[in-house]
Amino acid sequence: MRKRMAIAVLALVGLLMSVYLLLYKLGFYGELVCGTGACEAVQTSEHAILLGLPVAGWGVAWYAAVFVLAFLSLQQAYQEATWPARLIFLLAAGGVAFSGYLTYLELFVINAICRWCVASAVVTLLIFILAVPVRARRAEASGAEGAVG
Amino acid sequence: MSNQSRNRSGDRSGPGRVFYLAILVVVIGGIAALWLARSGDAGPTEIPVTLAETEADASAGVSAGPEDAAVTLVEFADFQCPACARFYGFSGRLIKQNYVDGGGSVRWVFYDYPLEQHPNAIPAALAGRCAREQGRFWQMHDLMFARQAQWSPKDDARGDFEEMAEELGLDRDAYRECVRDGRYLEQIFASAKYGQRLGVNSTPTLFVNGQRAPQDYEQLERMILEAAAAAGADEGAAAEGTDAEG
Repeated sequence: MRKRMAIAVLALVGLLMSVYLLLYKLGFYGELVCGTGACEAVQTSEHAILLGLPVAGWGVAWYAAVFVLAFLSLQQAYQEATWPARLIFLLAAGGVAFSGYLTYLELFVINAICRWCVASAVVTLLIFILAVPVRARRAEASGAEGAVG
Repeated sequence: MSNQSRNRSGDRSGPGRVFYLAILVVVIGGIAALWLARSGDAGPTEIPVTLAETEADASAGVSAGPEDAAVTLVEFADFQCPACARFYGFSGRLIKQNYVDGGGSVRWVFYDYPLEQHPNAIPAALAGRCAREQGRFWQMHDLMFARQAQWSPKDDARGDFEEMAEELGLDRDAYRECVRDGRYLEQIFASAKYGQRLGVNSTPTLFVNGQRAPQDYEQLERMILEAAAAAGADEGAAAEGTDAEG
């Protein structure tokens, strides 16, 4: 339960960061709060678009999905269900993999580090770490009472 | 164990008050942050900087448009910067067409501001300056921005610039010689240093008569027209040195 609450809060933080970056991509902000110019370098690079949509947009969708799942799974009606936790784990695994790829691009291709991307990668990693034990414990505790951390 | 006493941190009936409170705090804080980020830009370039005509002349910019224009548009740009290409493609090009070229009312002064993360930025700036030596800076400038997506990802884009130089009908040997001995590197660095003194920390950065200007075409146009009107209203206004040194 605690872990899912943390996941929900983390996902919300990640969601807000992604919204910020998406709004920048859409032109609502002239500059990013960054101070080094490196953020713009990353955000305006060709790697900031995936399948025609800004990476930030995918981020918004991903964080929103994780948040909704975590939030739902905490509600009484869904507490006994195992699919939310499994889905969160899958999403988190995919998220960490994609984050890792983006970080690789920053370090070795674009040669610029955007602090917002780093922050997002950290949040995604934390979510993943929190998502794993929940799943494993559910598997171990099969038959025992639910409401696991 | 009573449900009441565990309700703060959550129990079978759902997460407790602390959780919802945390959610609320994050949401409100986040929206506030997003709003604040919007209503003002951070950074030293908020301070209006007045560029005296003589200073603009004296440092290492490349100009287009009438020397006695009432409005001066200063641009700090990096040829490998995607935002710069975008600005020029959607906005700058039109401003130049409508207000600078062919005896317009605006003087455009371009300053190189190569960013560290762009390995082809300085070669591009050099290509521009060498093209300028043969009177074709703006054509080279336009070509480099137009084709940025092609040459930018390459490790070394100098071949592309040479091809462009040929396309523009430049004397190949003279161009090559110019690039090879890097005679304009000093100018490029002086240009960048000037930008740093003004607090430029990203590209493109624009100034209209010394005031930080937006990239959007309509807003930029409005600012130019307002500046022209203001300059016209000053008695005996000429662009040279009416404002105090910035």
